[in-house]
Amino acid sequence: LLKYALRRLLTAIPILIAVTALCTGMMSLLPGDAAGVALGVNATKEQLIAKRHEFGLDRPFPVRYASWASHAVRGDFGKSWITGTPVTASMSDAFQLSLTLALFSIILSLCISIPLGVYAAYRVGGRVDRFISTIAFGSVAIPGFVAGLGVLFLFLKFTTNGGDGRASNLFLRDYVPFRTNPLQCFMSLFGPALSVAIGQSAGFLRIIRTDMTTTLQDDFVLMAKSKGMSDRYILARHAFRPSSFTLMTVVGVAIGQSLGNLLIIEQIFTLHGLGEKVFTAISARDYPVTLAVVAIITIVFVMVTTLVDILYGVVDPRVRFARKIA
Amino acid sequence: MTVTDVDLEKSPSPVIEPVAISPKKAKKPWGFMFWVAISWLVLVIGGTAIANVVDWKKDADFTGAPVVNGCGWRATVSWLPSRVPSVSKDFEQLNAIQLERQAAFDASQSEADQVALQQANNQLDPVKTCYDALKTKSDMESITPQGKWSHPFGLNFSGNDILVDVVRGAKNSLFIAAATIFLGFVVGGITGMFAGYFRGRLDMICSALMNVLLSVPGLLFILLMIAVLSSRGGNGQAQGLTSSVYKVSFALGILSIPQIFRVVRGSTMQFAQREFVMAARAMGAKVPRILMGEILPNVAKPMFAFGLVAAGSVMVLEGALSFLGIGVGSGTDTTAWGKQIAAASQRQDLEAAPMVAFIPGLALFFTILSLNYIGDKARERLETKQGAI
Repeated sequence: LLKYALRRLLTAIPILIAVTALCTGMMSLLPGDAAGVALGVNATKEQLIAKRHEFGLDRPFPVRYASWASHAVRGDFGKSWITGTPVTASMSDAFQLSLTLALFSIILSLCISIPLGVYAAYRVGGRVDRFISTIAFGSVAIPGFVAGLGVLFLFLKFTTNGGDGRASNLFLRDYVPFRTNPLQCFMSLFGPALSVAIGQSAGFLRIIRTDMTTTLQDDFVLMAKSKGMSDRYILARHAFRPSSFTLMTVVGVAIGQSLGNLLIIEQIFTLHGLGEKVFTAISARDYPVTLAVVAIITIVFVMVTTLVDILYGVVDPRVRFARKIA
Repeated sequence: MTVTDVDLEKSPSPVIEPVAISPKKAKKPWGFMFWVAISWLVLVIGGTAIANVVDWKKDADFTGAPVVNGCGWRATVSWLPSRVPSVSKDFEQLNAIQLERQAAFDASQSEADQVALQQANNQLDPVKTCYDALKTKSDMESITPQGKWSHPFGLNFSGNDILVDVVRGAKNSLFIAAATIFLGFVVGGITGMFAGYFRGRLDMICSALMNVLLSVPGLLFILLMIAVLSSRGGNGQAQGLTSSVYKVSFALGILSIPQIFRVVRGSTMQFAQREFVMAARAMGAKVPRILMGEILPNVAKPMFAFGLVAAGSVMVLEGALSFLGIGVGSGTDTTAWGKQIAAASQRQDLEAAPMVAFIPGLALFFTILSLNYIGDKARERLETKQGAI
């Protein structure tokens, strides 16, 4: 298993390189001169040239990419061109927030979707199933930012106890890091997480329902039933595991993608996460910051998908044996 | 329905019919909701067609009503262009409130109290002033019902009729969705078919490229693309992110290529191993003929269904972009659903007049929902047909 995991990780590296190289290339295609932006309109020619040299803009693209990559591997993403502060330090808070939010929303949507999905599959075609499926089908079509606005509206309307919303509202307080106060952290992230979870859980639910329905028609379920096991036990112990593979893949992809897609939700709930960082950075042509965010998100994405692949072996013995033979 | 199906149905039934040919099932009806979804889409598309023809008189000031503080509170658009909106009474009320505010402002100026001046200035923020005036009348909607049908959903914060704006905003979303899917299918579909048919090295290279593109964080990639495409030139000074319908379609199209590639490749691989393709090859058909004549018609059907669903997700992304202010209609006077939603999504605005944000949101939601539903139904039907072969 370890060998397989290592090999899987090795194949992830070219993707990482390609993606960051692609983004570096695109950044260098950006119109406008970053040195000019950083210095302002009144810069002299010598200043401009010096600044370009400082940023490394006078070097060819492959050299620039190589030096960036060699620094990035050591955790040094350079300095922001606009503010001059090291990127790694200023990024860590935002990254923490975004990651917490992504994980929280995934957990929340799993909590919603798994019980409902399993129940819908258990009573396939029944009234509850049809109801749940219809709702899920509708929720998939809700755009994330509309859901966010809806949740924000509900919170504003029904949880404000006078005063100016934000300070007095339990759910709309500023973000508190998890380590300082877990409960408050969850409270502050509940709204954004819920609005992400609405669409996400509907997607998960449909997947669970389909997979579970096919699993429940398998022979071993019938066997278990004929041995007199209770339905609940069968659902939880026999049927759930084999029907969770597709879900695992989708959850993995969702974690990877949500970091990027949280941009909008963060904007709505005015959280200072990665999304906000990258948005301002791209607008201001802040090359190192943008690259760092792209790199971080891609790393997380690739890591999670790799991890899911490895987890397959843990959850599904068949995959494990197939690997041993191969 | 293919020719053979018709022939089988009409041919005088032989004795062994139930054994030889499985009795042809009556086609499942599309269902009520399907037609609802279709008619919604027709309504939206028709609306955009009309919106180009009808002159909504968007920026004409309402004659006789004073426009105070340039707050842009124009009763401009009547749903039926011939009808004259009769909201002058509201304007009188509004005007009275505005004058009151103005007086307060003047008073504070004479006191020369800096703090009070600041407060008054804040209050006199043009849009907010209008808006506060409305809030005292409890709600946005309450100002509009004079001509009952002239503003069925009321006015939004820039003083336009919400319904008209929604109809006008549909155009860009639809165009971008169509253009994106077109680009995706042209590039992704063709490479997918080649990769799926030839396999081997070509497939490996294409798949690797698409994998890279697939693991690029989507929204960020679009942001970058738009930044690259926007405002090339001038004096080397960066100008914010400007975008147009074409830029957004292009960026979204690039992003949709790998997804479409994967689906097309998969289903081409499936069909390439079927008997009829082998038969064609055995008869000496050349590659272009096999691809165009044998595989394409079969792949195209499920792809049509997939395209509808994909169009829905493109519309979500497009809405998100214009919500962030980098999609269509940033800066210009074209409008888009996302932009309309964003314009009304400040916290106070949302709390007091949620419908201003949610009506375009609902329009977006219903459009995506109907695309998904139609796509789902179409896929179901096409799949059962495949299974019957």
